[in-house]
Amino acid sequence: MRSAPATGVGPSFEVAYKEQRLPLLRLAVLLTGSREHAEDAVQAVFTAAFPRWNSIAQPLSYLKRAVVNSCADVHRRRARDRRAVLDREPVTGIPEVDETWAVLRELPPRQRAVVVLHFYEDLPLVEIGRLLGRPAATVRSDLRRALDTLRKDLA
Amino acid sequence: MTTDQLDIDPVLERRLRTSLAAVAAAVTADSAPAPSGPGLDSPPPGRRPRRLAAVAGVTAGTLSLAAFAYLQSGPEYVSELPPPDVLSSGEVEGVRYWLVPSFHEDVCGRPMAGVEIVSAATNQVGQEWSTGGMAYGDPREGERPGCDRWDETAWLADPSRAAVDWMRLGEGDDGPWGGMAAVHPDVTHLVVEVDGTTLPPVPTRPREDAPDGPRYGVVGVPDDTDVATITLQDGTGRAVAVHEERLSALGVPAAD
Repeated sequence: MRSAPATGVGPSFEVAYKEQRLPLLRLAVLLTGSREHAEDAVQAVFTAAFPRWNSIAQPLSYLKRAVVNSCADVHRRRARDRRAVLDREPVTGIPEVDETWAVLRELPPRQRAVVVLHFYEDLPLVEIGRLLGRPAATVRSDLRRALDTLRKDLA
Repeated sequence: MTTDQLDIDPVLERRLRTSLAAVAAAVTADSAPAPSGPGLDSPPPGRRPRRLAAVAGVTAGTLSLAAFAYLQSGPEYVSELPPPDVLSSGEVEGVRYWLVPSFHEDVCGRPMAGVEIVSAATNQVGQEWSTGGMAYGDPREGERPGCDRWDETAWLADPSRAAVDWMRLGEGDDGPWGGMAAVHPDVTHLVVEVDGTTLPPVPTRPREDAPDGPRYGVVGVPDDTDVATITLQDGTGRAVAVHEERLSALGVPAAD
């Protein structure tokens, strides 16, 4: 396997892959609702980053942003593919968690992304807006709608 | 802006945080090796065929569900280019693109509303379609995810309502931008300003099956565009709305 030269600022590509792949995969699963799509998104991001790793100023931040955007691409593609159907099996075996996850997965992708980035990644709404390329007011509106749906469906 | 303004139910917030953390914790690592040089290595063991595309250097955003099946043909695959029923087309930075009525089906098997943009850079005869689509109106959730319907009622009552969406016309996150606009039937032209330069007006067109319905247009702008502004003009040349997008904030961040 060819190695990416180590950068003088951030971690080497191999170290970043080893340390960041699982956290990014978890984030991608929450964003896409699918392990399969999440793996593809994360792998594609690392593959795209590899040849230019040394020129990426803040690689860890870059990877997270790239995964978020790659997962948005997954949603766009999936909307065009009738064969892609969400898996619906319990993932934790904890009834309340699985019930909550099932409802979360039914949210429109953009709303789910805001919920995940806010409550899992602890990002403020302004930062989420920057990540998603949406106005902060739109992000806030998405979150409000999502919470309304969740409150109703989980009651 | 704070979420305090949203008055989040603390019980719901705790449940969301706990559940998301638990679902994430249930995701365990597999043994996929790190990507390496494009084309230099075998694919990771145990991966599905389409992972080959990623390892071969295809970047994010182009992973196709059947990218490996490039010899297949059928309704899901490109049979001809330019595609049939073109509403409008253009070329930017050497990349040809076409706007066509949506020709895919949703996950419920129904024809999708609106239009799709087809880029010559990401579509080849015999390969699976790679398109981006959009529709006019407010999305209404269908019976299943991916089965949304589009309610045009409120939008048709207000000529300033429009949807504008952008996607890269090249592979992955590279290449010029294609901007699709779904506009009110009164809007006949899009006037596009790119980083302070105004481009020639782009005519909008309706779908053939709804000649008096919403109209659609497409614009192509260079890869390095920072801000694109689209002014919607009616038949008299009057501006009915302006849509501005900071393209540099979209997509995968540039490596700098």
